Amino acid sequence: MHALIQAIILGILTGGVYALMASGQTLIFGIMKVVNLAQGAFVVLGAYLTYTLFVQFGMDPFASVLITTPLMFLVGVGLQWALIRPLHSDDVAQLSLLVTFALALGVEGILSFAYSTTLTNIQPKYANFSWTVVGYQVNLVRFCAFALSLVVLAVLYLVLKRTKFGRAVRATVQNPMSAQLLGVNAQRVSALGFGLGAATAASAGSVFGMLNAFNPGSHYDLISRLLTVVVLGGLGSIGGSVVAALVMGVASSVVSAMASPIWSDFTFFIVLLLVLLLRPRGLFGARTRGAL
Amino acid sequence: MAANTDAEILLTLTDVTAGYGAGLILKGVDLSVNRGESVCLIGPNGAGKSTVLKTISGLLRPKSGTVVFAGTDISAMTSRQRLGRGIVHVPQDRSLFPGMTVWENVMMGGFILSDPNLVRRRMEEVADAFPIVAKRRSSAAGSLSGGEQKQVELARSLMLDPALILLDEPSIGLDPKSRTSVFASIAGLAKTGRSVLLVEQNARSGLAVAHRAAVLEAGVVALTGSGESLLNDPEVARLYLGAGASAHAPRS
Repeated sequence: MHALIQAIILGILTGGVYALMASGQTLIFGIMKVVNLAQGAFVVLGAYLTYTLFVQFGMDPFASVLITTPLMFLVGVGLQWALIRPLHSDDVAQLSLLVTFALALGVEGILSFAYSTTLTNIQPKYANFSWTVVGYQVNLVRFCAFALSLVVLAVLYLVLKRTKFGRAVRATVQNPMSAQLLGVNAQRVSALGFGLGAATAASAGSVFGMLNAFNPGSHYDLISRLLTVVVLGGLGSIGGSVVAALVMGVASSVVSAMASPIWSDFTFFIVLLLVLLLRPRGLFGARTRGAL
Repeated sequence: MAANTDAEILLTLTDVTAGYGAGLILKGVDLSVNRGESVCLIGPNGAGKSTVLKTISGLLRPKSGTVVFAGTDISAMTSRQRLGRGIVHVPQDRSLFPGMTVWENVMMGGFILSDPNLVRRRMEEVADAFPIVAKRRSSAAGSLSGGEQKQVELARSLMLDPALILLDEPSIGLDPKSRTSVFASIAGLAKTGRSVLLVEQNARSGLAVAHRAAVLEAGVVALTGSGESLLNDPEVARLYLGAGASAHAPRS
């Protein structure tokens, strides 16, 4: 029982970080109907930027979020303008798969050139510090990573719920033509939305680099997990993605602890298969569709 | 309703052609709407009625011809620019944002306004005019009935205090009671001095609230006249009001 609860704690803390990565993926899909296959590469890019700031300038990885997040926001806006915007709206869903996959390969190639393909990770002094809370181990980095994810998700929620831009985003997601008729500039919303998606990936990348060894090819594993989370949560529902990420984090961690770490990677896909067989729209697809 | 005479022209379409891709749906439309006038556009499916509205609101650009609004040629303007000039388009399909509250939906009607105080004031005015807005302000718009949603759409269309409201099939899919209520609201809009261009399959109700009407057939205006005269036109009655329909204007 102790091992099970310990695994659940670990799963929740890990799932929070996946929730952050997936929220950006969901946001981009919701606004543009673009399945961003480069989201994993954005996370890895964020991890390498954090690694550079840590190794070259001694900047704390958590503090580096203040630089990597706005930087990746601008990169995301630029990439949307250069690569997604020119796609014809009728074909955007299919063509964007190719474009974002090419983008992911491009990021991987540049990172391989700049950093080599050797696995690395970010190891601040406090990397192995843990608390013992009522008999259970809570790793400091994992806890702070979870807390950071909650803070970024809360900011994202407030932006979407309380600002004029957020209302424009939700309107565009729920009824693009109607939003246009009310004066919403869909291109501007798309660019800023893609930027926000990349920014969440960057902030998640900073903590991903502390929790995992990574190399430029790590995005393949990440994107398959992210797509699983996004589909499981119901395409276009950020709330659904957060819940799905927590479910997957816990399921994966529990399987790893109670069965074998080998089966942990399969957990994502087995759970996805079961849910899609029973609820083809994902866990929250029908109920919260349009509620981004 | 009696036709407005000697009124100032607000909108003029001159020899407008428009369509999607290489095909033309509008093949030379001539149409005008005066200030404070309600005009109903009727015609068979595929005649291009909705396309006329899209060409006026800027969702579709004319391939040739001109759209002049308040003395300015707006043919090349974006839909946002036209919105800023006071042209609001309420499309045929349900146009509310279902996951947003009624209040947020109405607020979106003033999206292009930069003064928050003006937005707030307009929202209060709109809520006074349409009680459903205040009554269901915190409800998700998607949870409202079809008739309630249409009332909120009409309320939202007033947020910019528009000079011209384009209404595309406002009664489609509504039950008779909701339909009556929506047409009462449309008649109310006309009384506020705004111009209304209404596309309506339910020709009898549409003509009854209109000062003037036009029949669109195969992309051109085939007939114009007062709403009352078209209601009494035997040919229009046969084609659009149902065979054997009474030639007398009904009214609510």
